Amino acid sequence: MQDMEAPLSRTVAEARAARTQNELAPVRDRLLEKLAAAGYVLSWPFLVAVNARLLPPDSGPQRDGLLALLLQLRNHLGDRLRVEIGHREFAYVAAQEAEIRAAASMVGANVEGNQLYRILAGLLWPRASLVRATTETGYNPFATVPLGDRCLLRQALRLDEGPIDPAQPRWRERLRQELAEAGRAVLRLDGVDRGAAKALLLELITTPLDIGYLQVFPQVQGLAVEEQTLLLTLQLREARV
Amino acid sequence: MRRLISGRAAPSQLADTLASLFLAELLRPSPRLFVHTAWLANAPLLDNRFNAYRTYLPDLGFRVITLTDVLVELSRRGADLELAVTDGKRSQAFLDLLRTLLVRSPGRGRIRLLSAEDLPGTGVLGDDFWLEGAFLWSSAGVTPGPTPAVLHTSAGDVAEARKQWTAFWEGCADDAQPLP
Repeated sequence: MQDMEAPLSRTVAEARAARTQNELAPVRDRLLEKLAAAGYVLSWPFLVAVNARLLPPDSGPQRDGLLALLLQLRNHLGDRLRVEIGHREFAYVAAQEAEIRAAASMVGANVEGNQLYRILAGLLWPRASLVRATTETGYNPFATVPLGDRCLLRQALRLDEGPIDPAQPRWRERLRQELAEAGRAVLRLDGVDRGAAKALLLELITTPLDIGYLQVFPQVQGLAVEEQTLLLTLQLREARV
Repeated sequence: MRRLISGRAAPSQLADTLASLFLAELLRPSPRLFVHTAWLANAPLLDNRFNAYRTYLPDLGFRVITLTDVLVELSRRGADLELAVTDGKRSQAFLDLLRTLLVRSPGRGRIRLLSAEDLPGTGVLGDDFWLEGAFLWSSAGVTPGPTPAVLHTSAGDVAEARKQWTAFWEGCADDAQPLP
């Protein structure tokens, strides 16, 4: 949205300029099409977030600029400190930065006292891991339980090991080996070419895998989306027997 | 390529194949998807009880995703669906459910239903695959028919079937009912 000439930015600008529902409806449909083409999954929470966070009343390029500055600063600090900074803590830090204060005052925000901190904390989205951790932690009146982290469990179960990239050489051999030995393998499909992902999936279920004394076909166990990457989990039914 | 689905493992292999095919369709819907069968029922397709598809199909909940869910989602993503059955009465419960879901969340794609005594072929036919077979749909799952199912992915086989099926639908255009 920072590139004003990009098609997505132009559609967003049209959506912001719409003054009636009749004007907004076709622009909104076009925006959804462009978001889907860009690889975003148009789930209900995503659309609510887009409406509430990116397209609220009176939003515009200056507000987008402030948000972009905040995200750059958050990434910069996260890379430097090698920790994930909570959005409230980050809002406090960002509120002290002169560049952020200048950008916020251009949007018309009150930068006096703690006002800016409150505005920035409302503008930023909590990290997905933090939201997930709060939903996974149980209540215990006798002890302070730290927030859970599903990554620890995934690591213990070896669920994150070795996603196979079909762009790499010898990926078929690795897929055959992992399916034969573990009964499970994950294919990592980068990019937004869903047509290529479909063709690959059709090929996998049509071409038998030779695992020594059997020729078997993998089955799909799951499909996850992480930004522009598809993670296709395959399993071998015969390996479970 | 052709894959023959037969033998003792055919029921589970058929269910797995259908799950993979409909997932492939959700990845990139064919502009026109045909389902020709004796009757239709709301068979389970993708098991999302443990969030396996949560990020890709977030609106469908933590449950088994069924044929109606997939068809509605495909229509929402712009696919035209052509459903042909020989036993419309036996498909009534499925069609009532599909109509209800389509009224609740209408899609961009066109869905048509045709009840005919003779079909040019049976199975599921997309742009780049054809799962050929007279398998039987029920709310418990899909059962192989009397002849083994065959999955075709070679362009020639698929194009030939699409030509025949498209001509059949053009010939019966007046009898086809739009859904919902």
